[in-house]
Amino acid sequence: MAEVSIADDGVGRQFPYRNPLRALISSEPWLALIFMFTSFVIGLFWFVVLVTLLSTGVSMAVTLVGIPILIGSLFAWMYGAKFERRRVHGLLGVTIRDPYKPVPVDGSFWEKLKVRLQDRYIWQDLLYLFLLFPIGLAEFIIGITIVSMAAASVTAPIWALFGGWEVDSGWSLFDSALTGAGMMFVVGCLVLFAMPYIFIGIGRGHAWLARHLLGSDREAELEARVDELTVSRSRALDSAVVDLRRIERDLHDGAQQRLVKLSMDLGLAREMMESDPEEAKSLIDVAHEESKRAMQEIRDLARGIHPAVLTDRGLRPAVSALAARSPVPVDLNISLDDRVPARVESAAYFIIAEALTNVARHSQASAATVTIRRFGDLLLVDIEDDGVGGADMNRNGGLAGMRDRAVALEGRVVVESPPGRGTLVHVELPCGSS
Amino acid sequence: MRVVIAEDAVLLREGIARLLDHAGHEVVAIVETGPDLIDAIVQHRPDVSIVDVRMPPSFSDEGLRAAIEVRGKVPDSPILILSQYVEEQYAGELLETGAQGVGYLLKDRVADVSDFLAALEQVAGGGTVLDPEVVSQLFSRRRRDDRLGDLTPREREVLSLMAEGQSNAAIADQLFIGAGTVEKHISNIFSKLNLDDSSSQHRRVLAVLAYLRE
Repeated sequence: MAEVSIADDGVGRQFPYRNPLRALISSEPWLALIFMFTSFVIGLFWFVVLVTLLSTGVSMAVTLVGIPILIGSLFAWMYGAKFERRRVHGLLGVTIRDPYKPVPVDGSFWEKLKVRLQDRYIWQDLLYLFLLFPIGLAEFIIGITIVSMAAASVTAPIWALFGGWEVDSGWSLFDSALTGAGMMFVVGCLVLFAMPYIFIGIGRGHAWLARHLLGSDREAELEARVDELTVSRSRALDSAVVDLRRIERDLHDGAQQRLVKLSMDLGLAREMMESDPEEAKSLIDVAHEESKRAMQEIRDLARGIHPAVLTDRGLRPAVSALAARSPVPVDLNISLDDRVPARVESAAYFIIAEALTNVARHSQASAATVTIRRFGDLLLVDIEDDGVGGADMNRNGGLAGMRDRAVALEGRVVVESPPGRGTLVHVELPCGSS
Repeated sequence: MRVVIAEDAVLLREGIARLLDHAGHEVVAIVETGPDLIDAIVQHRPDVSIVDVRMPPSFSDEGLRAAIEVRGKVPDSPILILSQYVEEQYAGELLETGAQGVGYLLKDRVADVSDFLAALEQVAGGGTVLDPEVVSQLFSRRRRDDRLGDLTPREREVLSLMAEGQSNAAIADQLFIGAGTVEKHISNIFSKLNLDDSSSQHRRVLAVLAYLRE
């Protein structure tokens, strides 16, 4: 019969055992026991290390030497917490993901440190490591007591037989050493039987604590994520509808009107060919011009829907063409070796297009810079200008549109636009295969 | 002239064929795909080929790629590329195969029949013709040392017409100035941009393009 278990339900593996006796032959209690013993050692280690580092750091903080010690201890306990997550995973079978807030990939050391300091999970890590000492101590005592009790009791008859057993006053109930030893043996067997369940219980209790202190609140996180995606999806649908309406209107007001006018002019010219050839010729000239303008309008419209060069050649030439059409001079700084997925290229392109439109319309900038580069799995795009700043994501529909494009790909857009100090639009788009 | 047309859109293909016929040129082959274009040029050795960038099967840029490939096989076979969009990037790729007998125009330019035929003849004669829109893209590109800023407005006009591949006489006509004045402007431009003012008109166009694309 295959082992029936409900695998990792978030509390522990193989929980609950369909047949409780299975727990006896599984590896879980013994791994839990190892965990309990190591908890004590590791807890003691971190207690000593952190108390030393933090007290030294705090007392020396005034002399500035303490600051690097404090920063160092932060990274030390983060490492400690990461190790604990691995230990909990390896011995207790509970997976805990690193819950930390992402740090800005291209931020300075101090920016990264600031994010770390504001991350409550890092402080929870510290709390856990301090708690690990008393908890580990208790686990160690319980573990050692139970194991030695079981070992001593079960082997009691042997001691008694070989004369090493002295009945003291406490055991006077028994008339002989051997009867006492026999009772001890029975008790020992019961302890031996109960022991795995106790270890499993302690292990799971510890895992529960670790999950709450070392892990993130996944459910709330997922809920927030679903809300975010729902909003961004409905925005994406809205903007698709708006785009279609705009295209319809542009076609209707532009090219279609021109074509109607064109065919009228040509019809009229045909009528007048005999009676007034001069007028007919000038009508044909006008019609010719109209037709060229209609072509131009359709071409611009099509480019706005999706530029051919983006599909054919990728981001670099497409953005370079965007820059060439921008009324504000644009410096390009593109370091991309390979093509990124089409949806990422397209999102990046339209975000840059929107940003450059904003630069031209609102910023009064004299120059702008577009920087595109890869960072691991991310495509990073910065659009920077030296204009008046003061752009607001919540008031500017274009900026919100950029954000929606990025969020649809699980990326993000950050706009920094202090009044009078230019605008920086920073875009991060994941290029993963998912 | 003997002309090969590579274009998959029936209306445009027939329009161009009729226009060429009307102007007294002979259409020796009409093809619809890149590989057929290469075969046609190798077989017919036309005076010039008119090629649409976008053709089956992938409808991306096989016209351009076929043109680049065929210029490896039949060097200097003059090719005029027509495209729904002009992009500096494509112009650059085409010019890398040698700028002699190369043209790159927006499809719309066919509407100005006489200009289009003139451009075609210029390409057939080994000249270079670039669409004004490509040239304006090249002009608006920002350079580290922007020596273009030193040019007078009139010199910039002359420079952009040169970049389009126009002859001195054509430039003089368009700007309503004398041929001597054009010469003078051109030599000013070359000295301001630190370019080698070689005598051949074709090489001057190349120098201008190289400068604009750098």
